[in-house]
Amino acid sequence: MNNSKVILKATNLTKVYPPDIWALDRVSLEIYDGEFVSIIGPSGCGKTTFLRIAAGLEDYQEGEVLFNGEKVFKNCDWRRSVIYQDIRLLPWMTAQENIYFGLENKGLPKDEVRRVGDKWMKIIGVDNFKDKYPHEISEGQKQMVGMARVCALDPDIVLCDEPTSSLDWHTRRYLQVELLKYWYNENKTVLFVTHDVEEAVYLSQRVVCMSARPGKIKEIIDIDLPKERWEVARDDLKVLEYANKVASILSEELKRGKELELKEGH
Amino acid sequence: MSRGLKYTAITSIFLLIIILNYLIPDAANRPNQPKLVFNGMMFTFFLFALFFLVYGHFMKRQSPTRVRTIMDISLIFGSIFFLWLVTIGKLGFLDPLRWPSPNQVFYYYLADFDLLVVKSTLATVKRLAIGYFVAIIFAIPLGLIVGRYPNLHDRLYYPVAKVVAPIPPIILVPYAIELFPKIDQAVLFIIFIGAFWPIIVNTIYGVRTLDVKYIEAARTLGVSEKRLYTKVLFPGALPSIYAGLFIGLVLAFIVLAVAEGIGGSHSEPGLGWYVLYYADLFEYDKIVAAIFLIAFVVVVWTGISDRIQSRLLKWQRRVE
Amino acid sequence: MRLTKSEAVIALAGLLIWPFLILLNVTLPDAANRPNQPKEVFNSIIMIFTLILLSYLVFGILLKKQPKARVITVMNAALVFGVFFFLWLVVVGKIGKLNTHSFPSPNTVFDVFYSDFYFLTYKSSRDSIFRAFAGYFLALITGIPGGIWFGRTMRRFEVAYPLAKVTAHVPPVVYLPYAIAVFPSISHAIIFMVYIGAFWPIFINTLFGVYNVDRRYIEFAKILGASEKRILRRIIIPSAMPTILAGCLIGLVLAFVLLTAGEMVGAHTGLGFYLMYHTDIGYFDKVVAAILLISFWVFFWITFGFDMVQARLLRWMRRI
Ligand SMILES: Nc1ncnc2c1ncn2[C@@H]1O[C@H](COP(=O)(O)OP(=O)(O)OP(=O)(O)O)[C@@H](O)[C@H]1O
Ligand SMILES: [Mg+2]
Repeated sequence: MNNSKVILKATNLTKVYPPDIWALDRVSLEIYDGEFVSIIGPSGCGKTTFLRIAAGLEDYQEGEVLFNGEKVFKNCDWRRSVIYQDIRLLPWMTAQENIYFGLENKGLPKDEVRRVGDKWMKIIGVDNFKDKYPHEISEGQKQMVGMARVCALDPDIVLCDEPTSSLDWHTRRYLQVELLKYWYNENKTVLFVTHDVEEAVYLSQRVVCMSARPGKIKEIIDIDLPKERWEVARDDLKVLEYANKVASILSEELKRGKELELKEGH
Repeated sequence: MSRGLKYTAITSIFLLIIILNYLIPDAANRPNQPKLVFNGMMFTFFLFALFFLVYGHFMKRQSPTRVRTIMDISLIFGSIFFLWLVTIGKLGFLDPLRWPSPNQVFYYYLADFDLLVVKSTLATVKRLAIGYFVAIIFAIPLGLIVGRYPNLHDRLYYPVAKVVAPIPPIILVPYAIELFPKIDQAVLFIIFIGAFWPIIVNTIYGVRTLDVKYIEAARTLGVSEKRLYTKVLFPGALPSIYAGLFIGLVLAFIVLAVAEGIGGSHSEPGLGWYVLYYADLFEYDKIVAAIFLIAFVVVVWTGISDRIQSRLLKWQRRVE
Repeated sequence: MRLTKSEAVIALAGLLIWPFLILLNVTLPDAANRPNQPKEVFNSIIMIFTLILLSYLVFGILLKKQPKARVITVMNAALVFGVFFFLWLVVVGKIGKLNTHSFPSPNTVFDVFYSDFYFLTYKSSRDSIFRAFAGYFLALITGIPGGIWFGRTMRRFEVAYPLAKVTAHVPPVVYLPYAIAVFPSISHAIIFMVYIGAFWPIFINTLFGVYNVDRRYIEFAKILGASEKRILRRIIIPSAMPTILAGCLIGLVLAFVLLTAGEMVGAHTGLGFYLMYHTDIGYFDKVVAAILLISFWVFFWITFGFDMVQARLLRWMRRI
């Protein structure tokens, strides 16, 4: 894998929120084309911040982020599309219009928009509520639309910010598998931020563990499991072993994160 | 009393009015009232209420709350017309010059059909429509742009708007009439100013209070600057824009009435002119007729705009 | 308090443009078609204004008695309007290609405030402001309780809302002839019009605000055994307050619109009358002076009256 090209590269990335919150401190990370990478870490360690910088939504003070060799600095692009935790469907568009929206942004002709959009609506299973507005469907259904609109866009890298954390057990598993299949079949790159150790291990090829405040990379763990991950049982011994390993690395960080969170809650 | 009986009673008020109008002799101080038009209108109201009574209530084809609201409103209107007819038209209270009976008032829709119903109404509606729509066309795009750039808003728009927006547009009427070659243009200009400020103020408010998360989502889906305006900012600000359109219409209408009153003439009529012209001649029956006509125009206008609004805003969760 | 470079530039420019105006006025020769303009009043008013700005700047920035953002906004506004007066003075007063009849120079316009001090600046202002406040006050004490009563239950709301929406759109100016005929004096008639104009937005917003109060809170309070009065005071009024205040602001703006409209059409005193009278006899310097004075009063009452009361009220609401 290491001989394939680097698609997203962060070097010494530092982000300080005003007045003096060090969200990221000299973070360096390379993501290769076709990889599935998870970032995991305690709350407030800067996972979302990293993802937002990569998406082009946030500025940074030092270091550099390159996407396919081009600098990313507050410039958004559908090639780096995001699946959000809070989903963010545009409330004035139906499910179908939300999916067509990105395709129209690409400037595709009308029938092409329809062909691609309908294909992905069928694959993800949005078909039977496609004419509903976001406030008329459930959270799970919303996130299915949120995923379908990104998949249809055919981005080079899919950035996911805890896309499953607000979903019910069933939909969460369903979307995890859909994402895996999408990644496998279409040869995509995925950067997946999560809180959930099992999820990170089960989905990805590399798990990046971060430490809290200032956000730093603590360790990167390679997961040596087959690429057709949906065929692996979730309670497979190897999966559990990896999960234990990641969890032990994280446990002290998690504790520190909790304390930080408590302190900031007041 | 059962609901069906109550609604039947309300509906029959309008029939009762017609019957009383024929049975009771006219008041001595207002003899020989022409009854045709008023009775015709009451009959129309009757049919309207009857429709909701039979189709809505007895056949249960309309929601009960809707029928109830219609019946409440019918009761209010029915009582007003009933009292007006009986006290003024039949018993002859109050002085007849200033307080005409409904028969006299509504008769002018027939007698003064050409000037009042056709020429004045058309002219007013035309002016209102043009001035209002030009204001919309300018105010909404400008508002979207100003709302999007905080510097433009804070440094230029806000200081100007804070002082200029609340200035009553009417005080510009004399000046506009002086500066524009034709009165019609001056009137349009004033309506434009009147409607412009409320619309732009609310558009900007809508854009500035729109949650950034939607803008971010659109940007990571590769939205272009142009489509950001048409597909995100505009629909997102639309609920607030509608509040502005409402105030804008009220203001435009006030301004129009005054501007017409000052600048209008027989050759350039309008409902505002009609009212103020006949005020000078003390023909109060015509004034009341014109006021009701204006109310009618408003009903039609707001009815149409409500239809458009509920279609455009059907994505909003209804407040129940 | 530290200012960024651009903020410092704005603050300085906003201050210095005013003495610069006086300098220009004194040094540049008057336009050939309007020689010997009386400059004293314009210069003195600008001088006084400069001193006010200067003391505000000292008070705000050096003594840190005002939030920085507000000081900058004020200086920003001063700059924008300084540029406006600069253009007016130079283009009209000094270059003077425009016709003298419809485009008076600022020097002649400001001179009116002094030469016509009794009629314009004192008496007309006094009459107009009294009328505006009388009508507005009546609208407050009827519109808010009325809105609360009609907004309390769904049934009343559903009846009041459509009726209010239609009636609110009928321009109150058309009632003026009626009001003049019925009320003992024209002043009363104008107060009535101001009242009608201010009433509807206040009423409608109160209606909406009260109707849309989260029902869960009310039910919760009822379960806890709160009386109707307590529910009103502790839940309904505080949560409807922002909407009510927004309506009161629109009402105030409309009050001034109708005040000037009524005075222009019907009165024999007041700023609107002054404006219209001098339009008819063609003194546009006096017309412009009246426009400026009206704008000033509207701005004054909204900024130093309404905004301050609103801030107080919202703070007080938060405390209870
Ligand atoms: N807009 C902002 N302004 C100031 N501080 C911020 C802002 N956004 C995030 N932060 C801070 O930066 C740190 C990193 O935040 P970030 O949202 O990236 O954390 P996270 O790892 O995604 O946390 P979580 O797991 O809870 O989503 C946090 O301490 C947060 O308080
Ligand atoms: Mg996060």
